[in-house]
Amino acid sequence: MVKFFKLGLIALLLIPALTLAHGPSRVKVDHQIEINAPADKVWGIVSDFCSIKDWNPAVTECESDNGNQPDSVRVITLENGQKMKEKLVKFNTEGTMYQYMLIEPNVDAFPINTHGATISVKDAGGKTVVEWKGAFYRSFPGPTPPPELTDEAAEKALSAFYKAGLENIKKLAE
Amino acid sequence: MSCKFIINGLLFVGSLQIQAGTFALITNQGSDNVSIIDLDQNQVIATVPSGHRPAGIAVSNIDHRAYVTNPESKDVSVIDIKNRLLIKNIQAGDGPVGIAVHPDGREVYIADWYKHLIYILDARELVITSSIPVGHSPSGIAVTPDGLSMYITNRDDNNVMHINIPERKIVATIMVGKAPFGITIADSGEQIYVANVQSSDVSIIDRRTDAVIQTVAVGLFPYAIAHDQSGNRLLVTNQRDNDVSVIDLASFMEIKRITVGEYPEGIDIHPSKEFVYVASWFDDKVSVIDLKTLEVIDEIETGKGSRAYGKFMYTD
Repeated sequence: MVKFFKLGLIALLLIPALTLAHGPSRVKVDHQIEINAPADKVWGIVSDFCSIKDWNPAVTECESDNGNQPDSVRVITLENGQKMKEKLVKFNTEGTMYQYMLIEPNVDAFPINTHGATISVKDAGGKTVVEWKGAFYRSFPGPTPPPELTDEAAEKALSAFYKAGLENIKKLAE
Repeated sequence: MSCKFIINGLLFVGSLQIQAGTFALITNQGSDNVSIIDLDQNQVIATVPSGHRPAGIAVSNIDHRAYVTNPESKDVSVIDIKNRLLIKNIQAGDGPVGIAVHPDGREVYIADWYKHLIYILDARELVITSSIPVGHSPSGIAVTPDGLSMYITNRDDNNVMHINIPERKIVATIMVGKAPFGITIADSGEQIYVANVQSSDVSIIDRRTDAVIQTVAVGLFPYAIAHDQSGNRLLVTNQRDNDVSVIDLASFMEIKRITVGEYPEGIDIHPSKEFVYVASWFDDKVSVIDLKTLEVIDEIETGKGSRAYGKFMYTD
């Protein structure tokens, strides 16, 4: 009994360290695309927090609990069935940007822990530039991640996700 | 021929020496080096190589050295600031991040994010002589001006530990906000300031009692803190708001936000107390804040991914 209690305590002590710790170096992902369409039209495509299911081919489903209101939480489902929970942090009603963050990491979706990102839409003389930039820490809780969980692997996966989204926004807007 | 070469070599070395003044040393995560900024001109005057993905920094004015943590090469770079040279890389556990130097310059303290230890580096011999087990993911270190105490943040335990330096002993554990990271001690040594990343606030600890006396809300994901003793205020970098919170220490209120670059990290104050410097990781630059007006008056381009996590001012 005492032994079980002790084991339980040890487990409790270990769990936070395993779930919270992340890589020591934040990694940057930054992509943009120029679109031959007015900024209003492009913002109309991307602005709804859950419209990511319509413009990012890697996302099959999205549900949000409070639309575009601050702290609204969306759950997105990826092509492979994995889900990620993300929170809307800032939403600029002038139609230029929104910012969100990952609140429940899922290593089977992306091997990342904290992730914050901004999608911005800027007028560029009749054309539009959409920029998607974010930063994350790898989720592997130790100094020597296996190849599929390294900073580089996570960056590659997230870059592909951003790019696919941006390219499809262009397609939809033009 | 060889004689001429030697003379040229000597002249070359001579001209590379840093002249008197005040300098900011900025670790560049993406360039694996350190930018030395001359703060009279606000210009990078030299770049010195470090280990892989440098993060933390501690400067010793006594030894004219900078100690830089490289979490990805798992070592600490020792830099001769005057001669702009990398002296040595010293292996330091699995994930060195936070670092501080004792006021007498003889010891350097290094936090190992993965092994949950504080290493003690002998600055004369340049070897790690011992370690102190602490909490989970220790990440920030600050030493009191009297050299008797260090305070460290344990990010994954939501607490701060007070370590008695002569006795190498943890004498207090203080609960703070969620995911404490940057830690700074008042010039007077009377208060300790802690940035809590996930609760987006700053804990203020009274050193006499080792108790939190105030918690002040700031911006999103605060990272590091500079203390302006003459203005009686704190300046706090908010990673996800791309700005700096100014806290008035008389009222314990946030009184202003100053927009800087994206993902501001390291922050430190000029010894004249006239300017504060902020490294913005996403934008590869340092913003200069005038403490009279609390406005950004200059921006200095650095290497890629400027972090400068720690005390990075050098005065000669």
